[in-house]
Amino acid sequence: MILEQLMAGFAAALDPVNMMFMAFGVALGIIVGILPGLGSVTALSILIPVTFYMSPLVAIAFLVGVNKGGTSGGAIPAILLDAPGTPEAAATALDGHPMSRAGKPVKAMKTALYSSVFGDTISDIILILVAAPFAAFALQFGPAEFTAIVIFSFTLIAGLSGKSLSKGIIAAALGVFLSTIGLDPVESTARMTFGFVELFDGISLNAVAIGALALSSVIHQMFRMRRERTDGTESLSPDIDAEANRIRPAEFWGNWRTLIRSALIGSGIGMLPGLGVSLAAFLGYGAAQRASKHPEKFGTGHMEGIQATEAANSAVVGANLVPTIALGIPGNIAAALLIGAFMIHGVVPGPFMMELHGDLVYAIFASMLIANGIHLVIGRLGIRVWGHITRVPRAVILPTVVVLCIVGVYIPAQSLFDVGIMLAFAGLGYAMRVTGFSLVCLVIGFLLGPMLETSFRQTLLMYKADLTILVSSPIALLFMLLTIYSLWRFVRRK
Amino acid sequence: MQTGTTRLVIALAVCLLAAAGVFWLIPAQTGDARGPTDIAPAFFPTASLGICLVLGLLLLFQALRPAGPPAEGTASAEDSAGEEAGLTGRSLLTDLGLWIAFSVTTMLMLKYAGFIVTGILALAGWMWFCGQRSWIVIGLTSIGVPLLLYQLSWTALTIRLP
Repeated sequence: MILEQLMAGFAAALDPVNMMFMAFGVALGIIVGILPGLGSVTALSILIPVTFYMSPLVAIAFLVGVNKGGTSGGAIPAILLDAPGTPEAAATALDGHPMSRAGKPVKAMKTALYSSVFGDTISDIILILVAAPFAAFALQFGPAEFTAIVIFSFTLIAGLSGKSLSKGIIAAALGVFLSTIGLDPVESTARMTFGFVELFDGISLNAVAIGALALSSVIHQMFRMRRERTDGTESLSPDIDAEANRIRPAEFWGNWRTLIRSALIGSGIGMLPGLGVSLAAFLGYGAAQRASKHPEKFGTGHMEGIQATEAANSAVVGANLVPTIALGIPGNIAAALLIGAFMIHGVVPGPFMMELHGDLVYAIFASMLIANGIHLVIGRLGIRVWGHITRVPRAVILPTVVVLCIVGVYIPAQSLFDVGIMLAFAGLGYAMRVTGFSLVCLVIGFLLGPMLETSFRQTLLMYKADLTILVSSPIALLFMLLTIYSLWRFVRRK
Repeated sequence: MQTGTTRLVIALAVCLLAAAGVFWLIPAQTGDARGPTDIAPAFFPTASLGICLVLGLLLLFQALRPAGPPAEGTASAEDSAGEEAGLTGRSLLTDLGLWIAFSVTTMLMLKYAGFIVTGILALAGWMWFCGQRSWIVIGLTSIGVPLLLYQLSWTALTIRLP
């Protein structure tokens, strides 16, 4: 039955106009993803009105293409410049940039692209096969279960804190503190806002992530160039050895366990509303590091690190349509925007969508699978172009990224306040970077803080402050046990 | 980072900032409205900065403890703390001072002179700072990039940069 509907979907999706818009969407998404601060969410919000005159299938396929391209595009500046274009690409920089510095930027970009397409495809297959039953399962996740997942996610800090665990925890705790600035999520009273209306919604994640991760890395490199009095014409990676940048299938598929694990983690996170792409990337990376026989190689330009991150963050793209299509509940902001796009075209996502618009839904599923092939081709062609960036002098490319960061953070909210926040976090990030405080932990704390606080306080309110729910709910208990196991493994390794 | 003094200053800074947050900022800037089964809005900020304070004290203790030279084959103190080798506290302060000056100037210029002028000056300044001495490259890039970005954001996104 599914196969028949999918075949009919392919027949509709293979329309040349649909294919052309998908290709355009993927290319546009990659370009937007490369620009620091502008991720797929910004691109989707800008491009939805453009789809108004398209047919529903072409419109959704185009936007899905933008989302796919945007999620993987952020990896390119992360690899080449250690300046992730999107927060979810931060973990890619951990191994991607060292690999690039070692003269293998093309190999790192290829690894990221192939892993991204792999994760995306697995996620799309999961979406097609199990959309309805998994969406029903996802409904069983209440605040207590989310609290347990977020507590488990905090164990990531142990693996990502770098050489000093205490500094990693300080960075994460600072991230949690910074995430509490703004209106209290339950009582709506202002916290640490100093009366600034701009802070009522909290500090922008975009400004924090781009400032602390991308811009701080760029200024770090610029200050180091100045100190070392390097030649201004030195390029990022002058000699690209074609042989060293080749990926052999055995080398790539040698880490198939990591690829599948990350794709499943990304798909799982994508199906649960509110957890987000960045968390999937960090969880994928952390899980690969924990499972690896050589965890010490992570962070030194290890191929498995890039595969783990990219497969996980791209797997969110398809899976977040599971609750969107089956229940009408968006998995993240990108999915919420897609719901808007569906509604513009007269399709209401929810339990009746499959019944009322089954042909359209399966045509979208087919388009998503085709878009992965298109993504592979366009991404592969793009690598040739991005490879040339490595030949541009560092003294030209790094200052250009500073200006791009300013533009990238200004555009989504059109707020100079956010630009100021980004510049402040770039300075803080630089100081933390050179003194050994993990910036990734800072961003993880900032991401997880609001999730933990909101779900924990909802749990207290719903269960009348009875926290035994964290061990009496089977799903919550599973994640609490995983937390204990993860900490036990970390202590044993130390 | 090279000296024990710098390490001490970092630990002290963490402790002082965390203590200022826990004992002054959070009580002064957070409301206390809460439901009967809820925790106070100040709980999470206080707990997170409390962790920073405790671990800051640990860093302080480590910085004050006399450390001998690293044994052969083991990581140096710098390496084990994840710090950048060869950077002194003074150069860190100089770099930060420069960045703060750039940030303040950029914000003022963005507000009063606009993006194009700010972009041109920022690009030219940073390129020169990084060692680029070809005035043709500096001129073309610093004028071309801001103009292109300004035009692109208006044409493609209908967003006017400041």
